[in-house]
Amino acid sequence: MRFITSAGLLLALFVGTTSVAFAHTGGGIGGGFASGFTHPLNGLDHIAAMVAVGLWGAFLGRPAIWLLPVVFPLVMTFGGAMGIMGIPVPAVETGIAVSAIVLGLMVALAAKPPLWVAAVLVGVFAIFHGYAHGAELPQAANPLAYSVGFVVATGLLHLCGIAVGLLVQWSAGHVAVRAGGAVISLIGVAFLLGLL
Amino acid sequence: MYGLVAGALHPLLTPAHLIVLVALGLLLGQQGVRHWTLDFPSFAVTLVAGLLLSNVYGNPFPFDNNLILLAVALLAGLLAVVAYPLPRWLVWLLVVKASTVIGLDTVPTVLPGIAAHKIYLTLAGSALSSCALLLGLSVFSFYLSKLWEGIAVRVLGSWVTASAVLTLALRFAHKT
Repeated sequence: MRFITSAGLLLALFVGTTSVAFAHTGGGIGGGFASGFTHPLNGLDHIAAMVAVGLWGAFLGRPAIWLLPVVFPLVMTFGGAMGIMGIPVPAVETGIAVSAIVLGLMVALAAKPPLWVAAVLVGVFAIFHGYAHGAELPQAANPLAYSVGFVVATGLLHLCGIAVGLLVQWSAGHVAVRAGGAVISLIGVAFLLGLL
Repeated sequence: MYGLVAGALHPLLTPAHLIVLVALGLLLGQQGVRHWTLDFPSFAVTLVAGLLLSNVYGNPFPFDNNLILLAVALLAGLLAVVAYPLPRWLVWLLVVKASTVIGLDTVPTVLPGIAAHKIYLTLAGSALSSCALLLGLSVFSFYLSKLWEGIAVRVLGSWVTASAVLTLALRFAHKT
């Protein structure tokens, strides 16, 4: 458990030191695994929402702790496919910002809705994130390597959230995780208002 | 590049081959050793058959190999997510389909004057590497599925499925 906690803190540090807000520039993405992997890491809005999914999963306990990180990438592919096909989805950036707000609030308020509600909520937001990734899937580079890269990065961010979320078993950790949820929510608000 | 090592690197450097091997490895490990006695020999035999067929006689099947491999990866990944005990014939079918197509899809560029034994060494390296990868991934998945109620294998399965779906979507988008 001590190892998991240490790994979680290390991952949190890693996530906290990434650069911000370049996820949706739409240009300059070369392709391949590296660009796919860095795509979700280059946007603080993505990072915040992904970590929130993991945090919430850890907060809700089993089976949500593994169900939400499984649901997210699977539903995200539908959004990704829509982005690839060019099917219009309104207010993608707004949806991503709102996902950080809502998921962060769920953690901050220690909300424990029924599992299906949590899965549907996470699934709906996954479509916006998937759409953003899919729309920018580079067509000249190797798309499979790119897809694997961004799916793995997304999954690792969830794991990061889960690892930090495991702190909830201690009272101080419980407070810290809820505070983390509030910070994520504020980040979402900042994105929604165009401050970040 | 030719030779055993160049051949061995081929499945690692070909994303469609690698993802299907990962998907099958996850599934085989999760389903347990009762599948292995049939599936591993079948994988090796059909892989070699595919390699020989395409390199000696030319690939007689006008199908999109990558499309088939991605579809198999998608199915195997989804089955790993579901984590339900599967009939042996179903897993065997996926394994044989994937191995045959990997074999058919592994065709080194033949430069004029290249010695035949170098081509065969390359093919042997590729076959050995594919078999070793599948075995290694299956063993890894077998032990991983014992931890945390098999959650890690299911999460990895969802990653494979998601990657395969997105790439398939891109291919279909280009065709329409």
